[in-house]
Amino acid sequence: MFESAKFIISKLAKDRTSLVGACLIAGLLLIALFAPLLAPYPQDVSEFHPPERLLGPSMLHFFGTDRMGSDIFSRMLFGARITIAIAVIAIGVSVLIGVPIGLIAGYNKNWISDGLMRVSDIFLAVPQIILAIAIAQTLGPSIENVILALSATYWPFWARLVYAETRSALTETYVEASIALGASPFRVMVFHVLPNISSSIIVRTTIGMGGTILTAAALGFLGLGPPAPSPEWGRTIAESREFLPEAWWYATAPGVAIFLVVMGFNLFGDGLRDILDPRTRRSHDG
Amino acid sequence: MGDSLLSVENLHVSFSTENGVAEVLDGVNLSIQTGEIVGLVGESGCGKTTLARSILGVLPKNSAKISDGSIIFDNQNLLDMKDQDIARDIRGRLITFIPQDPFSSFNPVFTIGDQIMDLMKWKYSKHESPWFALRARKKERENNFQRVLELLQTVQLPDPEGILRKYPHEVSGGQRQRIMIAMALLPEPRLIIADEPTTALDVTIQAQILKLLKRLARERNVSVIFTTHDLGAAYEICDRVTVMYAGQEAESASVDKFFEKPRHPYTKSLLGSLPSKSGGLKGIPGQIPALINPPSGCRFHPRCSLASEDCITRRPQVNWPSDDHMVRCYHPKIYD
Amino acid sequence: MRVLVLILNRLLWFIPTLIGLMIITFTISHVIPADPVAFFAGDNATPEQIEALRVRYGLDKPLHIQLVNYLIGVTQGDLGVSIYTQRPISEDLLARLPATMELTFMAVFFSTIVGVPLGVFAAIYRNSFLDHFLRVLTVSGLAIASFWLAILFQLLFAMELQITPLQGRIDGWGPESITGFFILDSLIVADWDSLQSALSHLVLPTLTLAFPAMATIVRFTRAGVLDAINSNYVLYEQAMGLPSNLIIWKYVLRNALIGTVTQIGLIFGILIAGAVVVEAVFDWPGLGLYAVEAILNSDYNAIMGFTLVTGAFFIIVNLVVDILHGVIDPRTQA
Repeated sequence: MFESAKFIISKLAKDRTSLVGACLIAGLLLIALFAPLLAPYPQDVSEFHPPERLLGPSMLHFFGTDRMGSDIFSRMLFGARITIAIAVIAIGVSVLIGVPIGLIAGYNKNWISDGLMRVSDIFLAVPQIILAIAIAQTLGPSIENVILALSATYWPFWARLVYAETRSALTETYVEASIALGASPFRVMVFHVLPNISSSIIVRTTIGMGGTILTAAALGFLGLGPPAPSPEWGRTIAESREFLPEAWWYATAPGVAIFLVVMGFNLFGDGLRDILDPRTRRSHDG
Repeated sequence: MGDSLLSVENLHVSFSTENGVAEVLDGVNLSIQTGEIVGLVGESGCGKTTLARSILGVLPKNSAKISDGSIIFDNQNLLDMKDQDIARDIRGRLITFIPQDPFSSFNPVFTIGDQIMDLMKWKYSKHESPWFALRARKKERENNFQRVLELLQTVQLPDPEGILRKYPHEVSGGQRQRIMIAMALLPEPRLIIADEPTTALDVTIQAQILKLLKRLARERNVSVIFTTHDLGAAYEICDRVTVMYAGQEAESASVDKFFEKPRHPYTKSLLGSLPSKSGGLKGIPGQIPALINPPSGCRFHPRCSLASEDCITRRPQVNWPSDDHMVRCYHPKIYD
Repeated sequence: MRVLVLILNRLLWFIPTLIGLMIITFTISHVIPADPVAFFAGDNATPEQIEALRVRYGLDKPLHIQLVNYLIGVTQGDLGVSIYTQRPISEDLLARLPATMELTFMAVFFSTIVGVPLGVFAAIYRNSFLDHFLRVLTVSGLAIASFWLAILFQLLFAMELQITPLQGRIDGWGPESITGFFILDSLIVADWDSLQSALSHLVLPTLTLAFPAMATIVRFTRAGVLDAINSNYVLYEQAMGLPSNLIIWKYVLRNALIGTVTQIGLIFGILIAGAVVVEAVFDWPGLGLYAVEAILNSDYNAIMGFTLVTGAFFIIVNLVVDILHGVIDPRTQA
């Protein structure tokens, strides 16, 4: 296992775009972790200074101030925490729900697995954000509800993916052999099937982070995310609209932040996929 | 070699791969006369397919490099010609191709008829400029159609018209290969390059296809270069056989002499590894070498019981003894 | 004949999926909220109004009866009444539909016309400057938040350069309403002012919406063309000396496009998801803006109606794409 990890890391290091992606992700994590230390005005997450509203970028305020006079730079740093938290938890929960469901449905061949896949298909038949809006609206704007809405609409993706992979893994001889030798279903699923599909899951998780962050930001933009005075990036962009074009920095900072973070995950995920997923590798003609 | 139809001389081809540069063809020679059926035999990876593709000029552009040698076809060195000209005048006209896998070699989303007629339109027409092909008049199109039907009948396909309307996946493997043979004969070529044409087929069909190919080639006096790893198939239809090992040609002789009096140690081992009536299977100890860092000199020397100092230092030269049985070896077997 | 079988086959999947969607929206609106009635009545309802609604909507009946009533109602087109506009939601949605469809179709059209050739060239000239440039562009295109891109476009083109209108769908009343599509209607009645206004208002929203869609199309087309170029049949066509233009533009393209058609369903998903925020930014009077307004007004009924209609629309598009794919790909008729 560690052999392969070392191999993967060395290959990743050679791919420049993956490296850029990894750096961006690392940057995000560091900022989120050390936000209180890095922010010049950490108290501005919840305090207002109306006299200083809508000031342009300066040495005092790198990204200017917002409509309440708070330092945008500091707020953006704290916004990173929210973004990471939402994305990681939402994906984590949906994977934790979807993967077991996919394994069980893939392993069994009865009406339960058909039913589970049918339900997944229905969820997948509709764009995630549409259902997420409905759910978030019903529950009310908060960070927990955003996570809930995203998880509830994302688990079917994993269920379907793992189901398909499990089904094809079941046709592999080594799995048939272990079943023939009397291994319990649990054993087969966890110790034989799961390790082999884990690379696929890891790749999609990384690639899915980008999309999840965008969807979460969109929900924030629509007002369905954590309410004021939360420094969530999407929400900040929505707030900035009425002050354009004069206060251009107000919309630019959070937008660039979202862009860099999503780019990071996309680039890294792409690089990871090129290495881990042999099917997409194109062998040179020989 | 006198006035051969095709003469490959000292061809060096290399491929650049992730792990380094592989010397896939190390100064290979091959010649074929008009109307001759030459077999190119060897194990997987010996370079026979690369040689076939080199003659056609369809090596992967980004990774393959021809570093030396010449390919003389009809007194013209193909390596001196521009790719455009070769594509227009030689490929699909004077030299045609029968691929290994007839299934994936057909375009899956067009009918067979579509693909054959395109070939007729662009490669059979007697006109110089393709523009005339576009303006093929109705009469000419009808003639073309008739010719295609005739050819399909010649390869023993029932219901040629029905076949033209079908898609590749709707036709059986043997039928597909017959169509491929027909397509190879369509432009009235001088040379057909058949790259392991029966490997992808069922054993029972293989013999039929081989016999068909041989008969048609004879009738039309078309030369055939026939690559295969199946010695039996080579024996079936070839006039002459050249054997290759790890990018080097080892021996070349008429089919009888090749099978009865092989001279090269590798050929002897190859023939010796065929199951014999006395039972027992004899393999060749060792493994085919990787071509990135191949053995020096004669590449077979690590596995050859007769290997000597010379074999390791320098590859034996080409020599054509008077009995027309060429072998590149310092220790060929002598028969009396 | 086999087309008919194909359609029937797909319908077998389509109908339960649609019903499943209805069940999901039912669950979200009737099961999840603590008090569904208060949910429907809105934030400002009095206790008496809530009680009245409870009886009126049959929300005192057992859940499964409610579900049946709900399903029956929906299939008859009754999506409830908007708390905000006091009009039947189905009417509101129907009125807004043409605006969103016009925008979405323009985006699909634009992204395909531009994206497919770019994808083909990126594949043919693999690893060239164009290919690398496109790769950077497409990766970026998929990393930008649509609503932010919309705002950037507004900032640049409408506010700074002032070459396009800031928002809205048209200046003035628009052309006579025949189809509801401003461009078609303007052409039909030869209302050139309306046509010009409609087109200029379409520019920014279409560009914004098309951006991620184009990125996806370029990527998929490039992959499809590369696959085809590396295939055995292209090798055969080259070995037999067919002209390379013929190989690329007839043989390779058809194979690649068949793959791209199946991506249209994916594209539509991106577009519909993007439409919500893009319409919000550009004040485009379509379904998306309707949803945004409903969110702001806590108009829960309206949101449910919106979810159902957009979801159903998306499912239908995928059905059509599926059938289309079955028709044009001969391999599916095996």
